Amino acid sequence: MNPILLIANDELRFWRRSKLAWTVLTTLVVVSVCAAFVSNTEVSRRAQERLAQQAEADAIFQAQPDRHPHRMVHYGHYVYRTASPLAVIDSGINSMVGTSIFLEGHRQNTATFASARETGLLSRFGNFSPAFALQSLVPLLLIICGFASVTREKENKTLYQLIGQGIGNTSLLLGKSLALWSLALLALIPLIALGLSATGADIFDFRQSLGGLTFGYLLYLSIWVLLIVGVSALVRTSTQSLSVLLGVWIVSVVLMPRVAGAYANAAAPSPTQIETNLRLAETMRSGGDSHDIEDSAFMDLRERTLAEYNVESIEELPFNYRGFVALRGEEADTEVLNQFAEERMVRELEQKRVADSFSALSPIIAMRAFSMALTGTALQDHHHFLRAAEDYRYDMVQSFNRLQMTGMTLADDLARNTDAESGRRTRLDAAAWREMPVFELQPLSHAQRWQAASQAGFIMVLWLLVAFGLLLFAGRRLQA
Amino acid sequence: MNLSYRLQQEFEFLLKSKAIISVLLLLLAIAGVSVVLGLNYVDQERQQIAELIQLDAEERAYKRTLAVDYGGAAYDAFHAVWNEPSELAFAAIGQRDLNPTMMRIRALALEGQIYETDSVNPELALTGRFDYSFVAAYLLPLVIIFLFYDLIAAEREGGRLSLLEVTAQNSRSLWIPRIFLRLLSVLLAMLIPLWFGIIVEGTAIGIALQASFAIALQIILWSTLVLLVATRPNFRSETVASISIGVWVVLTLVVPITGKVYIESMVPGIKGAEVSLVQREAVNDAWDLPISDTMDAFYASHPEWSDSPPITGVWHWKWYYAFQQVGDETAAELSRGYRETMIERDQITANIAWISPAVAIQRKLEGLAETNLDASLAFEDQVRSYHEQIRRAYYPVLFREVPFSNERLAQIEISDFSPTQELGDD
Repeated sequence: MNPILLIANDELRFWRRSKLAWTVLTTLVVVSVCAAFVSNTEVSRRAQERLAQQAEADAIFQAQPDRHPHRMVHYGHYVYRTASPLAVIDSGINSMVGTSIFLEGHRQNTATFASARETGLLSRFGNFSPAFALQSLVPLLLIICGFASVTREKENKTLYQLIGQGIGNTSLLLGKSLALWSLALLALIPLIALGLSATGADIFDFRQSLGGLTFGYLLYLSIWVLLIVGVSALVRTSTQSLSVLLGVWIVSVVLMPRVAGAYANAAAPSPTQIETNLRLAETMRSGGDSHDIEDSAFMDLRERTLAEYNVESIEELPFNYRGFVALRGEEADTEVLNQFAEERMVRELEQKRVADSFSALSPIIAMRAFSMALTGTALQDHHHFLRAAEDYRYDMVQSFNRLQMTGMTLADDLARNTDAESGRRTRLDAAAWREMPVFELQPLSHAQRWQAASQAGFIMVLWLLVAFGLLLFAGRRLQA
Repeated sequence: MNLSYRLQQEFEFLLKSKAIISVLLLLLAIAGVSVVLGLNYVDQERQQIAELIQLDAEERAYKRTLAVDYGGAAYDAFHAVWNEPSELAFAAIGQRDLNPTMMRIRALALEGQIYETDSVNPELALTGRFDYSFVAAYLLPLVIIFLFYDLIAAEREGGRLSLLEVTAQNSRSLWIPRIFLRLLSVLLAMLIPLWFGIIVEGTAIGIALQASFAIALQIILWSTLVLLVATRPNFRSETVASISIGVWVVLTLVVPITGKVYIESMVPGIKGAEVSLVQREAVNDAWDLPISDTMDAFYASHPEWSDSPPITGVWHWKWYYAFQQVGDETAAELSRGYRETMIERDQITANIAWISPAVAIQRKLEGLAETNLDASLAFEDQVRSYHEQIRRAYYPVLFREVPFSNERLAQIEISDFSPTQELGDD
């Protein structure tokens, strides 16, 4: 028998007799299954909720009576974000962001009402999901199972015998690692099962991500396995081994992610919402008020339009000039709004980049980034939703502005509040909003998700190499 | 052997133990960093508030110069409101970043304005804050576990236990000085940074003492837990450590996270989004309703203006503000429900705190620091009554249909928001 397998087999046999190992195994199974179950119920409950809310919002919107189209621009519409099917594995930022946006003319609203505020204090303790179990708890369980894997042999003076039997140091450590690794494989089962049973749109695309995700978690747990056995081989006593490994776990799992966040907030601070709003209001002021066709900001446009159509006055234009100003005004407003929105997204990504650079100090930061990117619950997915909602908003508003432009005369439009007959003529058939396409969020593709995850994946590979180097180094130093 | 001799002996012993000293220094450093970051955060918030107040006044003054009617003037007049961080906020920033802390409100329907929160980076918010209360809730127990897990087993495994027990008069005089010194040193490592912050901020002494007491209690609780395990005969130090860490994982991670799931499924409650949806619907529908419907509803709750002249045209500012107010009134019940949902969830959290010291200490510190739900709701109340004040300031000119003049407009004075003073009486 291969010496590596022999050692692994020996270690597994030891665990079978050890009460501690059985406790760890039971905990592992209970935690993984609970996490999978809880996460599944929660995600499907939320998905149902959102589907219902979106359906209701669509129904209310479509049931609006005949109206002046600009009233619909202000009436607006709600869109809800559907969670990615793999959110059952890693809910990522979902609880920290609002799931609905109110879309209306002249402004971009933010996604309000993150569930974190509504839940209160406890929302900050994390989410009970397979991702949390695999990232935080499983390494701890592996530590408890493996910290004594080599020190035990030293303390019991059995290391002599093993080495005396001609088993090489490296084979010994690899064998110990293999035993621990089998436990890590066990921990991955709920993730795979849950991922495979997930349903939703583009599920095939998500299956590909699931493959990458499983591989990533395997990589991450392998780093821990090698680290645990390496440390156990380097130190003299089991107590030392446990202290060192627990210290590593606390610093890398509990402390580092928060330090990274705090540092990113301090290093790349973001202006307050009010400050941004004031700045935005100032920029938009120069764009003029598109409700008022006499606004000086639109005089240029009037000249150009009159020249283009070769007419003397706006009444002679072949369309309702008021609708035309609304259309152009929205176009200009949106340009400014998008510029501010992009600025904010870039800043958020920059903060994320700063925080992610701490993955050089802790593999969990790389793992989190990798996991959220592949499950479609990362910052970039939220930005993707914001952009999709904005595109939908712009199309909706402009289609109503176009209706205003072509569906009525300027005279009627100007007299709509004073003359009942004009008011009636400017009220357009509700078919326009009944037939508007509903909002459908096309998630980022697997290729896009993979691209976002690749850097974190690369860092994990580096970590694995470092951990393997540590193991080899420990093997060289290991003396009976 | 008298007590002071034993203490001195143990003190020397403690100084010699490199591992313990370095862990204590690490705790001191981490707690210190958390306090400095917290002070920094609070400072930044105060600066933002100061800037907000200044910008707000300038912008409002500028907008007034453009006014052509009272309704338009009210429409453009935003007023800053803010929730000043308390003198202990540096230690427990809590949910401040997710709750509304500063905004600008105007005489329009409040339900559409009051939930405006600052834009946080969701990915950074996800990890939770690195503040002093985090150190106390998460790291402190781990340090205590480290200090006590091999208290007895280390001596036993080193083969010194029986010797020690023979030389000591009784086991009390053997262990109590050691335990006492370790407790004292960990308490100092936690309190020195806290009191640094307290002195910088000038926190009220009562609050400072309560916070310190909470920390001491947390230390006693965890050391008792660990010692209960550590003093079990024949437990090896690794076993003590594994069990203690297991307890820590359950109490600090598993219980709160399970509690969160429990809360969300037990109290599905009313979502904030529903409130704003209803309010928005009500305001929007008003445009299509006969003007008299809105005015009747408004006069029912504001009878003092019911003798205002009837509206003849299709548009009047007083109608506009009336339907804004009716929108708020329509959503009022849901809004209360939303509030109650959060209160109810907070109460369950209070119950969970009984089984999770991590939740307990964070709740306690956030309560003292006024960064908890109660403080957030109190702020909301202040904003509500301030909004009432703004609204009512414009009603006389709107409902008496006073002809517009800049002189009359200048007489409409709304005092600045004051976060401490009680505003209004309703």
